[in-house]
Amino acid sequence: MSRTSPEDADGVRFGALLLLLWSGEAQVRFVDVVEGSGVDLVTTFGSKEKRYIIEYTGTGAALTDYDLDGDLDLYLVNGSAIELPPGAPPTDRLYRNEGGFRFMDVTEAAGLGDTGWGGGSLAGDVDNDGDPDLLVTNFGPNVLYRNNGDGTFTDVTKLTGAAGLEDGRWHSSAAFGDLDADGFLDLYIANHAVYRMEEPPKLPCFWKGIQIACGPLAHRPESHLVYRNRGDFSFADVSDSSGVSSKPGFGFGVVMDYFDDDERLDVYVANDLSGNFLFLNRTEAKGGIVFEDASALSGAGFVEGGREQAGMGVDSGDFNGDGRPDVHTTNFSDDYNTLYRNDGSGLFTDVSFEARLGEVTLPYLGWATAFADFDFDSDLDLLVVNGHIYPEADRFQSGTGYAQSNLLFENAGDGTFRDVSARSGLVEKKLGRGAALGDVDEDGDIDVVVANMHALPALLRNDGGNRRRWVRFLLVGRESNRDGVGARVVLEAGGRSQTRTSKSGGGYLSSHDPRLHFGLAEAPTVERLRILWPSGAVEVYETFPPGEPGKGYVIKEGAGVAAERP
Amino acid sequence: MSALALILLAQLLTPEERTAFEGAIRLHLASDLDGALRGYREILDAHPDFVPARLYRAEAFWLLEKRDEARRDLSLGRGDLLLSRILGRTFGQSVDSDPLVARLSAAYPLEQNRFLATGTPGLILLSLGEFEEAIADYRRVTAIDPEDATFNRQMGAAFSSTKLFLPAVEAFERVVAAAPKDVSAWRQLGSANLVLQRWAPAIVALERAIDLAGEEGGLLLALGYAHERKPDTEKALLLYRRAVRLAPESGRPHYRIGRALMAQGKLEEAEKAFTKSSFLDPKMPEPLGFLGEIQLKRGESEHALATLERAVAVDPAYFEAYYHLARVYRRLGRGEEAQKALARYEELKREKRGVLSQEEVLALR
Repeated sequence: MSRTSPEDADGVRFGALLLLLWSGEAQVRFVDVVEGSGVDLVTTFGSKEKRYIIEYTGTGAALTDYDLDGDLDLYLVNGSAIELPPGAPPTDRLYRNEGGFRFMDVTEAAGLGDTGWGGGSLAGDVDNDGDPDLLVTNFGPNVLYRNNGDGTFTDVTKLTGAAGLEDGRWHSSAAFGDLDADGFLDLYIANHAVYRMEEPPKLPCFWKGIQIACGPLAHRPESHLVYRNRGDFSFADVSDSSGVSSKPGFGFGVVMDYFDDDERLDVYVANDLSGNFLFLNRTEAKGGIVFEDASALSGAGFVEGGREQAGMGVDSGDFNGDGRPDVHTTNFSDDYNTLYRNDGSGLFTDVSFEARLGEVTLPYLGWATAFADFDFDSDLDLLVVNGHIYPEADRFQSGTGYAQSNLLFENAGDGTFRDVSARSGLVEKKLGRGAALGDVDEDGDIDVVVANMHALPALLRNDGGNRRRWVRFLLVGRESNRDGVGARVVLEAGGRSQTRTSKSGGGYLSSHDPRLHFGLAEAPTVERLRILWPSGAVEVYETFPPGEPGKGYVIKEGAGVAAERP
Repeated sequence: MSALALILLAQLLTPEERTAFEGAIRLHLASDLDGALRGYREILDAHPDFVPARLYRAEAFWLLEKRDEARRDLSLGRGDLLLSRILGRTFGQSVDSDPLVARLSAAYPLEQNRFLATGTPGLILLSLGEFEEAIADYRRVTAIDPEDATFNRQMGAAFSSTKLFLPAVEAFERVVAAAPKDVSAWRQLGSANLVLQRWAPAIVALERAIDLAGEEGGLLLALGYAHERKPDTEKALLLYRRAVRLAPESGRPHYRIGRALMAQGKLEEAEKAFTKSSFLDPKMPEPLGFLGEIQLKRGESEHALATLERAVAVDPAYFEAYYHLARVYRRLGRGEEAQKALARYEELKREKRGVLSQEEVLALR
């Protein structure tokens, strides 16, 4: 590192040396280790018969280091039901990471345990005080928790002054990002449908000739929410002035990234059957948050000749190494998951079939999706979490099934992907919905927590993902927001360039490890690291050694680099 | 009036009334509908609750295109529309139960053979848009004579024509069970399953139709499509190519080949197929639309523009081409034209969607 030396450079070099000794094919295998882990939440989410739309969308999870002890803790959202049995209502849970995939339920001690009909969870440092706060999105009032810094949280929803946070709408995924570059995390909340429990749709609805719970088209799409963070746990509702509320959609997944090559964080929303949204950020310096609706003309709102898909989850990532974030969305069964290649200037091309992601995904109903380098070969692979919404899918030759297995696609490095799901151990069929990614066991590679409906989550330990070299970075903003959300990191190693954006929220109803993980393949060092902070600051580091298990790096804006664990 | 009383009523018609009723039915069968109506009226004047006469009269009205009158006869006490339903409700038994059907048959041998078993009320109800009632009647009638291929074929076709594909599938399944060499029924069964997106049963039915009928272009394309969506595009391509051999001058098989190749990510080969399709059938806008999309994917905006303009010249209502045109204009920096094309796309799609949405709801039944 030319700019700042690591504080424990010797240890880092030793780790690099150990990794140099490794050779051979790296093959990822996921093993579900939930049994005996201490994670015991079997989620409630409506009736098992699924009579109403509200009963099939499921929940998400957040991986966040709430107690700042250096490992990722787990927040699991719980749903509810129209008819609940007597007794304690279903509650969300917080599990503290005890190491080695062992967890302890600390919900009560932490002052958490929301009993709303939960959907998503989103971690982010709302007040820039150095610890992650927590937003829970519900069908009904959301809850914003302030992290008190002592292992407890306080419900501060009412302090926000953001009426929409507490309204009765059907809130779905959310994402934090500094949309006006003022150093605080603003908030986008996707809402789904206008739904009133007391007035479910009366129309008979059919799927493949079978009567089923009515989907979104029997309802009206809901408008979405944008909040500007004032920095003191109060938010200004700018949904109208930003241009977002005038365009309702059956929102599910949200991701923020730089989709049109400028320095402003944009928003992409996967909508069910109403066309996806691409809102390009047109906020001027010190101006109010304003978006341009580029959904249709960008090519990223529809497929084929302008056909809406049933968008569920979404993630962005530079799959082809051209420096621009591409977009992947999951969709309904009998339709394909969609990979939109970013051609620059906010223009996209659907390359799903050319990338070998189209045909193979047709039988699945996808929810969470995430780009990540699971095998550390220096390109982004793709995870897709699946599960149908109709129990009736098993009752005749529907061509699909109710419980479904998840999918892992390995990036082949030539613009295509290979389905490696079975060989990676992703064979168990569940009703998957949200997923949170992160290095849960601190062995360097990326594990996955999948939120399953009516079941325990899957804690998918990545075995083998760390056999190649890797490095990871936790960003700490100073002029920028404290989490460094929106920072772009461009890493050059082994003749390849990788670009990642630090994000908060993505996939579906979930929140990932805030650290940026890079696979280096066989490259002995990171040759160059360039960080573009949301504040506009640019930092460059050179000759960066790879990490070792448990030892990534913390990069503080304007203050250099330190080992993640000195 | 109880169902038992109805049965007794039927059995207690005087011999003269019974003869008169049968005479009216004979006139009905001989297409003397006005004469039949007079006979039914005489019976109904004496026995207003005699349901068989009311049902026959409804059919006569329906055949005379007096739909309001037919509807009135059928709707008089909707719960009394069909005897079996009355019996079922009265006795708390399933309308499909054997003893019930036996009693019905005993009470109304003529009606069962002629009227009930032909499902005429179902057809009338379909024509009146009373879909739920029609489906219920069909299911009741098939319980009486499940192996009547003629009736099931008739009902299947009627359901298909009204986009009620699930009961259509059930009807055609009964036809092929009773008449396993009925090519038409296998074909229709396959088609109805295709609409319902039930790929595996569609494949079985269409393969059987091809076995029986030999290779036909339409069947090969339908079977290929089922494989394409299953998804097995390799198999689909084989079938489409067989269709090309059967009809080398037809553009549609080449179009389907293009779609399957696109699904395999083989853009160059797909482009050739769409070009060929468009050459053979210049009036089809779809190959041009997909050709334009491929050119757009390659960044060949000028080429795409020319191709898509041809597509909308062929079919000015082909909204898909306007969507791509809007994207092309955007890429060419022609913002105003992009907005116009986008507005046109949205307008045309809305118009088509207005029709489609109704159809889609029905199609999924």
